[in-house]
Amino acid sequence: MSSRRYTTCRLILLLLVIIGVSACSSEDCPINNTVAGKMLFYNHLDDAVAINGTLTVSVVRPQGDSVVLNQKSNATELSFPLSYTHETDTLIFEYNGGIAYDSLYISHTNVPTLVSVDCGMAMFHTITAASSTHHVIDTLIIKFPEVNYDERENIQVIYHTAD
Amino acid sequence: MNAKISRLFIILLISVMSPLIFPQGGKVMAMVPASPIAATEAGKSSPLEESRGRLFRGIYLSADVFGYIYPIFVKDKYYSAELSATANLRNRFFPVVEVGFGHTDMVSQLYEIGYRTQAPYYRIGMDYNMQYKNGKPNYIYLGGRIGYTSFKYSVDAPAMKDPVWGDEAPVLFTDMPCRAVWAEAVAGVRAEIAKNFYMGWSLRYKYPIHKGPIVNGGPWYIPGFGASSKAAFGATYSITYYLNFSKKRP
Repeated sequence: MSSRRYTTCRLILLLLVIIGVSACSSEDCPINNTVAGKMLFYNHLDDAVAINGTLTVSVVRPQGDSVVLNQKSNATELSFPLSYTHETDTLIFEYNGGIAYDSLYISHTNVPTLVSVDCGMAMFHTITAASSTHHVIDTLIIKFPEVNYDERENIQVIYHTAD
Repeated sequence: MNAKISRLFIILLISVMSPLIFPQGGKVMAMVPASPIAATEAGKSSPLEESRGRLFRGIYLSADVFGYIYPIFVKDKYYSAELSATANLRNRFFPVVEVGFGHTDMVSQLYEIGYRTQAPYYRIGMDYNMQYKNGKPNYIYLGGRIGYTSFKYSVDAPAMKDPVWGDEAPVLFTDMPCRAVWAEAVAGVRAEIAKNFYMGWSLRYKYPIHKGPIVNGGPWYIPGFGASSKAAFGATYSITYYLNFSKKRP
């Protein structure tokens, strides 16, 4: 076999190997594909606190409320959904089976996001405002407005504390 | 991912080593470079002396056909065609300009996401002949590139159903503008298959420098860069014609 023909064969062989390896590759999709807001509970001293007793959280929908947390004891945090199409969502906090209530109002944008054609779409959000009634809650502070796969703390809930 | 990188590294290593082991095509040679003094014959300059001679030797005009072969073997149907011009400076330095056109119009089977784009892309860079002392037309090279493209892309997908509220959010992004800049590290070989005709391939590691504006997650496929949001590997397989401006072989 002439040297040029040999070189040609070698290059073609290498090309086929490269194509074979490339064909085995695949896109790495995010392991965590849940999009949810996250809020943690604090007192006035900026210490993390747990809710005394039970906490039930519902989201308000036109077709009826939906429970997202059911009588959780000593809750220290909450993962909450945000709607795909509404600009403001309302969460109802029910303490100790109905002894007290608070309503939380979360305003947000909705950003349909292309993760990749192999991993699908996800709805990300940006929280623009957060407020509440003040029966048990004192203040809401937006800590990190972007709601995506990162699972970062989005909102701090500051509770009244007994003096 | 690590396994993929390992396989590519092994292939690259074997590929880089093979011309050193078989520099004359099939004849096993000792891996000792010929002495420039021994190579000198009466009336001829040594390869080393040639490498210090005339600066501009010629131009390689190449067409990359890998961008149309690769999609045959993968499920993601995106294509690219590319032309390049490479100047031969003392058979050692090779400044290069590459101009290509990438396009895709595909629908993913799993999520039924349609993605469309088409745009030209450009790269400039330099290769370095790792075997310039041999004075042979076949050589291994290492190099770098800077790539740029400005393009628009469109995405359409089935409406997203809200699992809690039950609403549906439509998904249709049309003509989203984007620009991308990236860097490439290149390793390749070029071999003469007939007088002034060459064939070769290169492996490329691509790293994004800038991509934006990022809206709705940004683009999936970028012409010239590929389909990845992070670093990507690429390859070229080129047919080349050499315009020889010196009387000697490159």
